[in-house]
Amino acid sequence: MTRHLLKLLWNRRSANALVGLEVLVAFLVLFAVLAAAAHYWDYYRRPLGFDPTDVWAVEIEAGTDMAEPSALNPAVARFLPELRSMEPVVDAAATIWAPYRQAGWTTTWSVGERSSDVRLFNGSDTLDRVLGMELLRGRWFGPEDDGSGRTPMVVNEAFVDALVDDGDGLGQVIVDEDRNPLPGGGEELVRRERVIVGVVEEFRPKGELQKPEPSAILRPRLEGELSNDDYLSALLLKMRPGTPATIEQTVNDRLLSMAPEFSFRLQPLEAARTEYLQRLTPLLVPALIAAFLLLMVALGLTGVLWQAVTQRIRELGLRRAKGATLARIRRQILAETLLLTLAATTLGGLLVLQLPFTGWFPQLRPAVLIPALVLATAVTALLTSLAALYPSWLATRVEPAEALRWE
Amino acid sequence: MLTNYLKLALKVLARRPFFTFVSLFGISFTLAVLVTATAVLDHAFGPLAPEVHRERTLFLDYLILEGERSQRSGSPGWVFLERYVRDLPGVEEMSVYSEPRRVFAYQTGEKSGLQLKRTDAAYWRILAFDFLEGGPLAEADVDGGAPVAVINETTRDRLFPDGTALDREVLVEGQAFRVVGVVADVSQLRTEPYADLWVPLTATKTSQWMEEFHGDLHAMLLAESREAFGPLRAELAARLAAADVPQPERFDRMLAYALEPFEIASREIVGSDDDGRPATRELQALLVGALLLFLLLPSVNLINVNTSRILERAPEIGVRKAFGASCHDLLGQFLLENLVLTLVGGALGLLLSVFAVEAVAATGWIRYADLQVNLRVFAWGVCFMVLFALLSGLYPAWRMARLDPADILRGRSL
Repeated sequence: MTRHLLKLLWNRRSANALVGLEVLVAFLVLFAVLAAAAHYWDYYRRPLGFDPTDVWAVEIEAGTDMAEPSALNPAVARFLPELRSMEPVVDAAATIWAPYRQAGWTTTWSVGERSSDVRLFNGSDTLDRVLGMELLRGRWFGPEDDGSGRTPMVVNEAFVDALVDDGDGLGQVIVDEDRNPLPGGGEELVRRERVIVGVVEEFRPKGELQKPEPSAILRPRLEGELSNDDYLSALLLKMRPGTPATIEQTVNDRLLSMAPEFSFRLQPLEAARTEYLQRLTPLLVPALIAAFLLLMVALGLTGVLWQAVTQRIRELGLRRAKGATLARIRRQILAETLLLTLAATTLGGLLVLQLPFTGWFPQLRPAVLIPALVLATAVTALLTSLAALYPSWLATRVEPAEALRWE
Repeated sequence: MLTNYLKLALKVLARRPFFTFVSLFGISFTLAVLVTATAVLDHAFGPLAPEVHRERTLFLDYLILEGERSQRSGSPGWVFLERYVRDLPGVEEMSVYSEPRRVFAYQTGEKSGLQLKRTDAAYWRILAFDFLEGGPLAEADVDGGAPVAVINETTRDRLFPDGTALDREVLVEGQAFRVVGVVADVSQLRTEPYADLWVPLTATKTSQWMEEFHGDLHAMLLAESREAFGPLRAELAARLAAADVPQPERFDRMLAYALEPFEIASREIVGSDDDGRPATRELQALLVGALLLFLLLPSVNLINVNTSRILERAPEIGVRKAFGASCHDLLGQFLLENLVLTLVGGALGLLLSVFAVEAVAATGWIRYADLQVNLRVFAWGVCFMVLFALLSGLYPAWRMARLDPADILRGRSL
């Protein structure tokens, strides 16, 4: 039966080639949209690593030089106890950037043979309490790490997987050396040692769609000899639930009275999160356009198949006259369409499977590629079957006598 | 004859309403998407108010310091602009202004997020803002760092709901600014004029920005004409090549270019080459590629529908051929039919795009978007329509003109 259908398809190859091309392109469009959706969904469903509820961010605005840690961190050290003393503030911490801010600091670290890009973030001693972060093992850093000569850090699981050979990662020391040129010529060797004191499951401060990758939260120094590594630019305040937004101005005024040379920008993290997700909504435009394109394809295919059925009225009439049941005629049209779809999607699938080898789309990891491929094939088949529904019904309306009168 | 063809074309369209509907749906939807996209591009790059001199304006918004192992890039600061960009040849007017910065105003018991931009006085001479109240920042205000501000219409309605704003105060970041002017809103896509609140460049808490090499400033250069771009850019390149690079132990060269908005967009979207020049060609290729990719599916669909429609009329073609119509005649007729169909679809599409453009504007994705399907966009729409008619009509028309009359009249399957 299948061979017979293939022969029928082959007989009308020039018309079918065009229909096949249309199905192929529709499949590719569907794949692109579904792959993008799978990519974002895969990121979105993963844990964020922190809880933005009732947390307010205070971004500190200063001129380029004022933002240097040597000027800013001592001020932060004064702000934190003052803020904690305010009535609606439960706790306060300082960070390199406010969460949901699209800024990043990455570096490459190696341990023995292993090497990995690492995303770094500075957070002060109380960050875990402010952001409700839960440690899988180890502890958060604190004053007990003062004077150890090593910067303590809390890392995520991906970090441990990427850089630690065996064990749970606690106590692992990471050394990086940097040659800094000296103003008068020559070089100075800067050696930094960092040690893992705690491990969290995940930490993605840029938001729900941040790529999960090895990350570390380092303890910045607030006083003493400071370097660029100690950079801070935001304060985070855990507020009592139900604190009215009108307190924002009170907090702002308090900070301004302490340091009029800076400017402060307050925003609840939940508002920042809403804004962040809103900025992503234009991503839906391509999906909307694709939906319309597919509707157009479905309508077009209906028309083409409809015409094909009318054209084959004699062939179908003959089959009816030879005793084919209505259901069999109907099945023939549907099966032909599905075979054509299968051919087109197989070709499309083969094309798409080449993409990971080109290296152009690193996002096409198996967790994205496979569901997108399966779904795109299924939806394409559904679409073409729907388009064949009316024409196949039309084919059963053929009266054998009527059809054969043509000859 | 032409009228005959036209009549025939309309008759054919009316005969199979389903096919006509499918074709029209495809054409009008495709055109609506294209026209909406063009409207957004035109909105971003067209010479619209307040950038009435956009065709002879250049911007310098990016400075790269590069060494063997380190690189520092970002907006230039005051020192750089004064030293290397001021007094370039062929420049009629130069303005220095800051990037927009988000600030909050707590007024009328509410918190309003505002984009604040610091500008000099030349800014207001180059850009033709539409003043609803008062006037621009004056030279004296900028020289003296006076706490005055120009705000836009939306901000006025938000902060001063009871009417006029002139001489009233806006309080941001602990500084009180007296309103001296109110302008009509400017869209977010016009990045250089866009802001909610404009204050003098010098109205800052510290004067530290005047010592910065890298900072948060942009320069806008109004050239005498487009012909002045070449010498201007050459002089800038020569000055940078001869300059003493700051921090010579880290950096050995300094790169900055006076660019047009499309070039800036290319740098932001695609990137730049090793010398920091924007990848303009790549962005153009990207846009054309996206256009062709998008047109592929509607075209194939329309070709299929048209082929079906034409094959259905095989008996008619057979008769006409038998009576001596040449391939040429038939090809012309079918292309004309297709053009009629496309024009009808196009008219519908333009109508649809008016709604689409309004819908995009209503989403609020682009702040203060004043998107319009204007004459220029309309002309683009017509171009797309003809391109589309040709793309989707040629193959079916060719196929149809090639049919063998004897075969058809004998009633053979095609």
